[in-house]
Amino acid sequence: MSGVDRLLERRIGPWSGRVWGLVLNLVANAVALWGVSSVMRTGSGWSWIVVGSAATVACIAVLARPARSPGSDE
Amino acid sequence: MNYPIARKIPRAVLDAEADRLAELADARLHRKLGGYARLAGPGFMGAALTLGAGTLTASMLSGATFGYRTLWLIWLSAGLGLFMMAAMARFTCRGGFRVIPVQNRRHSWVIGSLMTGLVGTAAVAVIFNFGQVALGTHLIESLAPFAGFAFPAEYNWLIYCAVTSWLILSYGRRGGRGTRLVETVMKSGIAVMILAFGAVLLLVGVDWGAAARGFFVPWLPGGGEGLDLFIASSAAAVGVMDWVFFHYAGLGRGWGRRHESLARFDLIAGLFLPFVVVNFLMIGVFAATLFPQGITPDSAPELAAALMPLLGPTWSQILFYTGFLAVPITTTVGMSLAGAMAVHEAFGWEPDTSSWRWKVSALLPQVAFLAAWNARPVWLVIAIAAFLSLANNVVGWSMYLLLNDRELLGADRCRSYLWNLGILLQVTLLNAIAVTYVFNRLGWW
Repeated sequence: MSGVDRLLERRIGPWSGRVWGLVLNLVANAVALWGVSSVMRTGSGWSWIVVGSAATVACIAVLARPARSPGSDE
Repeated sequence: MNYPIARKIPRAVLDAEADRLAELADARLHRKLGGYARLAGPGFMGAALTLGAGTLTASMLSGATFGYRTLWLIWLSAGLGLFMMAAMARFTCRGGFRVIPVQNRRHSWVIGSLMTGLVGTAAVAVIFNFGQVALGTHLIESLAPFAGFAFPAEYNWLIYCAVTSWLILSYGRRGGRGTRLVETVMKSGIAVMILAFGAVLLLVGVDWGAAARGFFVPWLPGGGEGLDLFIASSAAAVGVMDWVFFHYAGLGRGWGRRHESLARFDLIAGLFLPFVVVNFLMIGVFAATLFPQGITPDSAPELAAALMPLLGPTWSQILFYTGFLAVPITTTVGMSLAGAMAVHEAFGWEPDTSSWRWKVSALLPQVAFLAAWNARPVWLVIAIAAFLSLANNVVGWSMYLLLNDRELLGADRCRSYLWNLGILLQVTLLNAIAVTYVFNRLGWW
């Protein structure tokens, strides 16, 4: 198991890493959409879109990793 | 077999089905597909449920407003939904558990019983049935003059509710034969829709070049309208109620480990293809008729009425109305069954289709007969829409977590990066709906 896999399955506070990843993804989605709304209203806010979209892609890419068996080298 | 509705199916029937599946596993492709089509059911029921007044009205509006250009959204939305539906098939066939109690145990009753069962499925069944009854009774009223008499909605709701109630109460009865009867009616309903809308589309003509471009080349209107359309269409085609219904309908058929291939076939042939074909036909009819004239009425009855003068002969109008009538009837039946299953799971009741408790919860959505007088519980619609916008994504999170739960599914958990990716894309779109809903209420969208 790699470090990322261990992190996904490890309990951090009340939830597992996977749940925290889902929460982070929601925050990233909101940041990107805040940027879109800002661009539509004022014409500025592209940086929010870039940061939110990049974070969304990163969250999805990590969360899509299937749960490995403990101690496996899959 | 831990679902009581399946226990009513005689052992011999289940064994015969399992033997047939084993035979089909090594059969030639065309025999295999034919055999699977006869054995499939929950997927077709899911399509019949999903293809309701709301979905078809959206397609009619889309065709009348944008022509063929949004056809690509149909297969994208239905295709994205398949990843989550495959997860439900995994829970049914390999997990063998009932998902709402498991959610209660692993993720709290707020997510299981409340968000998935009571709000995401049961309340939606009641509220959305108002739209089905309004459309169904309007269509009966529109069809009656072709037979030479008037039959207003204020009276014909009795026929609509009697027919749908009979089907709803047939489910799970007579040793599984009632379930097969309902499945056959749902399959026939989809066939009627395809034949009727297909014939009407051939009559009005198709611009195949524009249709092909619309089907394969993504296009959206500019600005916020385009983003709204994309988010709503791509995330909302298959929702919590569809997930729950497919899972429990499979359990009700006694599906187990040997049925997963059948379940996947059912998802593609029973759910995906009918959804895409019926929406394609509906968009095509309106793209070929109202779109060139710039006519964009607001509601399904207005859209249908505006279409009638353009259809020409009387028989084509009857055909369109008949095909359209199958839409609310099958959706009322599917939603009512989903609602009853969800209510029982949410309260921990054992579903017994011959009990009064089952009958009352299955017929609860029929309170929508009030829609025959244009009555709609507007405050309830707003409340449910708000709760759904904010809760659907969390239920999606819960399903994703269950699919990746080592303790729950062991070796049967998700092992595919692509499968998880598809689910996460749908979850992200559901997140976007929740976020835009909040932004909208705050005046930021």
